[in-house]
Amino acid sequence: MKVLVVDDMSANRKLLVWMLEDEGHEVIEAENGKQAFDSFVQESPNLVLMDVMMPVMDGYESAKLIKQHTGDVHVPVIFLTALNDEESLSRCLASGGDDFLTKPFNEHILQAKISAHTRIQDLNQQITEKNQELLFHHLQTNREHEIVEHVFSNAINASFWDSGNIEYYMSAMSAFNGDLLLSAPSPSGGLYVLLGDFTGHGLSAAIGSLPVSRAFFAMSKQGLTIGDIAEEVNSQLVQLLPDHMFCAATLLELNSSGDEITLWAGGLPDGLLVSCEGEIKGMIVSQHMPLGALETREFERDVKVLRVSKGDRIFLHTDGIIESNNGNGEMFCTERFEGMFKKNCFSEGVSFVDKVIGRLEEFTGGGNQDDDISLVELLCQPVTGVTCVRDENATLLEDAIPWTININLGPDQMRVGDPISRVVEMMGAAVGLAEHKDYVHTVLTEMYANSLDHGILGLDSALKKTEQGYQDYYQQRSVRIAELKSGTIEINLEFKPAKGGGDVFLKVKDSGKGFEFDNLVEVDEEDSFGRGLPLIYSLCEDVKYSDGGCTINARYNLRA
Amino acid sequence: MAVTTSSSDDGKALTIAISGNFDFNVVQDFRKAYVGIDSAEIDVTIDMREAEYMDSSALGMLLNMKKHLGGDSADVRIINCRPQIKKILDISRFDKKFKID
Repeated sequence: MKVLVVDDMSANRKLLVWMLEDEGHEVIEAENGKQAFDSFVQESPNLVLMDVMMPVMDGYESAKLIKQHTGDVHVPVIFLTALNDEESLSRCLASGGDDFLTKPFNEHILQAKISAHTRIQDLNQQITEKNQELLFHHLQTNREHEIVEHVFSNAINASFWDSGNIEYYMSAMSAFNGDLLLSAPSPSGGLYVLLGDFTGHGLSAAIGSLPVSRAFFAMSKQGLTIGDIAEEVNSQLVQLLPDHMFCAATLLELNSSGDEITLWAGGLPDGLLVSCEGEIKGMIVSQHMPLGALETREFERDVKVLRVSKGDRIFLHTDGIIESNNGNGEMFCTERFEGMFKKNCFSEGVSFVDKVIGRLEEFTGGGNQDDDISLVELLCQPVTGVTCVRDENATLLEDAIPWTININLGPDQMRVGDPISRVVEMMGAAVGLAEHKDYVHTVLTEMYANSLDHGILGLDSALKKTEQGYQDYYQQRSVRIAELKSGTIEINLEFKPAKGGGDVFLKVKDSGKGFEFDNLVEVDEEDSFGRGLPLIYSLCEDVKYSDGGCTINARYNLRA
Repeated sequence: MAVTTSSSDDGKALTIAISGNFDFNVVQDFRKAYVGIDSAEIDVTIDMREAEYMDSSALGMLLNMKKHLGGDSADVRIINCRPQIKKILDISRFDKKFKID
């Protein structure tokens, strides 16, 4: 150990140097407080033995400077003094000294004090290192949380709230929410909602919300059933989560007219179906194990269907609400929650969700929240605001390359499956055409069906007048097509880009006898046939028969 | 199966679900799904969620079914239509004859 000995008396220093070097310490000397500070700064000793009364600068002043200089690093300063009045001794400690020893001193006591202070110094050193380590980890954790929070909010904020059917309140007990609420429009104009509560709280609970939200959004885009979505989310969670973790959840779909709800409920507290007057009409009782609890082969995907009236409301919540504590060991409980629903409890312009949360806060008295809290209200009314963006596609089409597809079908090709689907698949692969595929499919199918049924197979629509005739018609059709030996149908598609999109020109020509297209009659609302042509007329422009009825041309506009 | 049927627990509601292409290939199956039921007692719903496509022959089949079940007195709901199928039903003014969701 390196010891700094400070004394104006050379004899005193010699004695100390001799004693310390004997013990194996390295010693540096200073004659006064000023010199002591300078050599302290230069040499960084581990311990200082300081005389009090010295010329130039006394020991008190020097100790103060040294302590200021060392800051958080602990270097013991032990005063050696001939003064033994109380005031002098306490001044030693007040000026930053750690201990004192009165002269003449005993060598053994000096040694004992030095080793005691060395131990303190070691402990101090350890604490300083641990503090630095903690600070480092703290900063690192903060940085990591920021990144994770960013990822989470992006994953979950893809939810759709514009329809005006949903009101919600969510409050996490820590930075990360173990509750999850997702909403998405369905392609058929309805609305999907998922409320989930993962086992536990914080980041470890929230981590499961990433795969759940991904699966939820991907599947809702495809318009899949609640049963399908529940099954997929379950299998994702089974694969990812450890065995003791799962997600209690309710998934539901409100149809576009807002009068039917399909739901899958597993593990959440009972939800409520409440009439517009505030009367509880029914309970949404959990019927399944939570998501992520059962293997895919054991999973039960059956759903319940609720018919609801306009103005009905569905309330879903996680156990955070009913288990909220008021500090006296009393819970908010189901009775208090359900007690809030009474006649005329819903008033225009006042959010009922806010009312419940207000009541809950009153109950807990602002005490510590010990679980994540979520409450969702779904208003049963037609879903609005579901829109899709098509502008990008128009730009794509404007810059696309023009193309044509020509196909000649003989009897063999007419017999196999569905030639039109294949043609439309080819077309759908072209830039910007994918989203028009279905309508072009419809138009081409009708054009082709007319050519094949009437032009090539010579079937008569009059047969379709009765229900039995309808069956017979398609019966005859399959017989005739099986026996068909000759005939061709030519299909021609041509895409011409233009500002705002462009057009696909469609042409179907058959080798049949044609028909008198001048006296096509208006279709009767009751008739179960003759509905193909009106479809073509509605979806296309410039529809024209020529060639004695053997050729039909139409223009499908891509702006449509 | 392109056409599947399911009844509610009390037997008062019949759901006919169509998957894939709703066209003349399912004429027989579709008819089988409703022939013989008592339309005065049973509500019929056509679930189009899994139907990808429909053509004019499917429109004919729907009208035949409606006539079979009692014409104007029979309520038939068509639910979960994709936009393209909805458009075909709209063009053909099927909203006059069916409840379409």
